[in-house]
Amino acid sequence: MNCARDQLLEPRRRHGAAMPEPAIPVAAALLALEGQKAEVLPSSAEKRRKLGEALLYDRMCPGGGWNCGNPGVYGVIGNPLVIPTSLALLALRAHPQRRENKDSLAWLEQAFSSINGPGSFALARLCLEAYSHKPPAGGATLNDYYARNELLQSIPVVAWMTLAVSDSGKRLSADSGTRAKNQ
Amino acid sequence: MKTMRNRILTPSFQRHNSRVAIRRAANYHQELSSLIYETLVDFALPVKGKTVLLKPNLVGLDPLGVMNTHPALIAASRETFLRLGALRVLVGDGPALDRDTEAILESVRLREYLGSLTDIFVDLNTDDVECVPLPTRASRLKELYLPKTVLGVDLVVSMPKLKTHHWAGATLSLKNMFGVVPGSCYGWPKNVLHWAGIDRAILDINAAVRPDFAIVDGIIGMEGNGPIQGTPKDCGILIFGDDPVAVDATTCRIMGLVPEKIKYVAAAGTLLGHVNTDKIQQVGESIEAVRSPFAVLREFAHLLQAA
Repeated sequence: MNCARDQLLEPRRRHGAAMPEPAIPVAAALLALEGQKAEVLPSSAEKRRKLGEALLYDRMCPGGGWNCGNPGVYGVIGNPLVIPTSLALLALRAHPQRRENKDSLAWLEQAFSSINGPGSFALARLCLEAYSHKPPAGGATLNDYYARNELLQSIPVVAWMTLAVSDSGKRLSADSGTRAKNQ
Repeated sequence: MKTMRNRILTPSFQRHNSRVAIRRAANYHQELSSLIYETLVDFALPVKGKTVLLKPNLVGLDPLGVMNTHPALIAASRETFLRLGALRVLVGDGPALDRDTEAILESVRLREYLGSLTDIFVDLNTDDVECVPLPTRASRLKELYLPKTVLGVDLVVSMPKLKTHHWAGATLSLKNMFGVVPGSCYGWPKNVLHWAGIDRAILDINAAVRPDFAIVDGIIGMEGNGPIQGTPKDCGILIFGDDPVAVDATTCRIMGLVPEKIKYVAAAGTLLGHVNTDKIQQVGESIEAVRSPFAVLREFAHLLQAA
């Protein structure tokens, strides 16, 4: 047990068993919302979007990055993971100047070279490109990942891979500039 | 795929004695296949022509090899079941924390030991599912969506890592079955089940899946703040058994824990298997010979056997 870390965490964050797992569902919901035109959304959508963003920031791991949404369990800080971090950063990319985004982006860039799964690789690459950061060179390619285990025939991983090779990250980067101006 | 795991529950008091074997294994580099083969032959498992699912404990990225069931043990077990005549031996798990199952597999170097995993490994988090009514009502769950692969195989082998657990006290072959519950239905880290009561959910899952055999990776275990952030513990043992409850009870005793004080193990001892030593036929090493008390979190000090 780490007492210093324990004190850093609010009481309600100490017991992971009683906490939901919000990072990926909330990030996915925010990304889905941003794809909709304002006129088709209910009046409460903007309020809920802000709530979602606040929740993601609240559940960020100390130091940057996200895991399932448990920044600490019994006072011990949880480690961030690539997939939730990438999705949360994509959902929050209208706020590139916030300290939380910068810290998390720095963690993701540092973690990029040790990624060894295709899902993580594809999403991290999408995310870095969406923030106009060039993914570090070298290491495995998407083809290498496919050759290993044929992506274990995972539909989500195939979808992420497809996005990653189709310049979607760059398009998301352009979108985020527009969104930031509108807010 | 037909459902084959709807077996009748027999209360523990009506069950035959269980059998547990403790074997010494100094490290993962030694010839594990021979040791496992010699041990499994004695159990005379009905595996000829059958499909076997090995369910290791794959929790997360683990370059040091202390958090997950070691790939050398998984590969040696797979080789042994094939040698015993199994038609097909699959390996499957649904990691609870990280959605990138393949990253975990690469981190534990499973491909180095098994070759391409395309036709061997099943990601139980994303497998097709079937709704199964629960034969027990330990938790408030009435049914579980379970992977069709788990329901369709002839033999399920739970292969946990010998570890403490910050919510359940210890995580062994019964707790390991949390990994068969699909993340695609229950999320990551499967908190629906934690909310249902971790001890009770363990009972319901095991009553539904009924693992047939257990092999505990106790060559290097984890003590303290397990199952992720604990400290490696060199134990040098493997524990085998035809009753996961008896295997867990025996393993707890080796760890210096009182199995009757661990809620889910004690409750499982009334319905799913044996906790009482009188009902467990012990072969191989004795518990006393390999006992290696584990450090536990303060919250679990009451589980420790008196010195």
